[in-house]
Amino acid sequence: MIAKNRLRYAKRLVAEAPTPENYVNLANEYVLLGRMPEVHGVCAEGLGRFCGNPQLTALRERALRALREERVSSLKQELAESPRPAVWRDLCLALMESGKLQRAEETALAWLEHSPEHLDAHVALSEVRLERYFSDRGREQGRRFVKALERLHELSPGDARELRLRMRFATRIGAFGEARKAAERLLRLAPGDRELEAQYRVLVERGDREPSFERGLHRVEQTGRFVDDDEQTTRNLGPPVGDVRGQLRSLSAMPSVLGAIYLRGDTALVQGWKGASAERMARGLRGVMRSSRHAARRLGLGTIRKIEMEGDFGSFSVLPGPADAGGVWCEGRACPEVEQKLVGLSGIANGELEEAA
Amino acid sequence: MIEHLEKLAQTPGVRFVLLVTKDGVPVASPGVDVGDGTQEIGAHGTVEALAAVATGWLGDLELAVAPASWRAPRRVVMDGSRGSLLMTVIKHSVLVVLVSAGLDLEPVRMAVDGIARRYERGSSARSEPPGPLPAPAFPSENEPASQSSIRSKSN
Repeated sequence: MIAKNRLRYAKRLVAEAPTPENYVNLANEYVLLGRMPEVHGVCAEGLGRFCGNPQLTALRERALRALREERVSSLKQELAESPRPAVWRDLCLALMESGKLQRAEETALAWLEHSPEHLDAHVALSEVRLERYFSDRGREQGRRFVKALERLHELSPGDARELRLRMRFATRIGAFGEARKAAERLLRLAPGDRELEAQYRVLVERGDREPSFERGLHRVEQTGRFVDDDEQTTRNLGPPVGDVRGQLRSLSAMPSVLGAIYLRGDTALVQGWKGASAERMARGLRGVMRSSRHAARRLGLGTIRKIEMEGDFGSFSVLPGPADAGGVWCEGRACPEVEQKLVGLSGIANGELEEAA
Repeated sequence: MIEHLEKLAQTPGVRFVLLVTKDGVPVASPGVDVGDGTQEIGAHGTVEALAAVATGWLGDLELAVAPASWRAPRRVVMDGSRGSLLMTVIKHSVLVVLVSAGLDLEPVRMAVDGIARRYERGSSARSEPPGPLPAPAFPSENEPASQSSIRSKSN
């Protein structure tokens, strides 16, 4: 009774003054009543008005998570009572949507054990492994996907789902030759598909770069980036900004900055350290980049935008660009002006460095 | 401690909170049975995997900065396109926090700092023996004993 009154009051408040706080308040009332679809609805409405509000975003995520959990448990129950391919498939999809990829793979494997020759089970396993690879970016996961894909190909050569998965995988790892072949075969199956035709044209333009899966997998593991990640970042970079040396000098001249470093391939430009210390610092920054890429891949954090370290030494901020990285060592935490300069420094892709080297 | 972790886990944008030992053994996490290390947490794998990867990364960073004669970092933050990882060393443990993408990390940093301060204060109060009794005033070499005792009284 009290809860209903509070809900009515919260609804009235939203109607009278639709502020983010009132939306959060109303969503919380629904949470207390366990009405998750309503929580999601209120948050979506609130976010429509106040885009990016962190509290509403968090509540909507929580509601979505609860709804997915509910769906997973009802599907599990259904599966226990009547194991049908459609239920197996829905359960795999629900687990994938929840981001529980390991459990999704276990479910697909259980489905395969239940009906080893069912084509949909092989498709589900390939899909889950592909998602796991995209999240992990490790070569081993990629090989596991390729193995599942080859098994699918043996069972049903020329299946459209297998070809689509192959094309998606090959395009992302940069094996454009393989991707083009898959697109060709898909076009034979579905002539006139405009989206597919457009993708095929793009693949033809790219040529046969990185012909094998293994080379593509190796490249992604080394760099931690897919081909489309690179393209997105390059597009966002804009024109090259100034010269590296000048930017590095002005950065290290700022108050509280103790040193600055710019790295591109095997070459490093350093301000603030000299001789052997400069070399050690460059080696250290390479180590930071390598281990951070590995950790980000394993944790599914995507492309690294910034790394910060704080300790007795002060703070060290690193901004990795698509082909380079900039780092700054400060007495305390780096102030916004220093960070802005660092953004200007990393991602500079002009010929200055090659000349300096 | 778990109360503070629970509060931190409720901060908008915080996806997961985990306290681990420096060698990567999960100690506590709100809403998760850390004894069952195989429990999956979203796209980040299992609790054990997260603990191992996070502390492994911290160890790698320590090694990377050691040649510059820097001590191990106390706090590290990695901001990624799909989320952020914030780690703070508290005594012999590490607090690992995963945050959703595109959110301001400052409130989370402040909450983590608060927990670290409270925990360090609490553990130092528990581990340190009671303070010594006031030291007796010894006369210095160029000062007569009587003057010294008068000063100690007035103090």
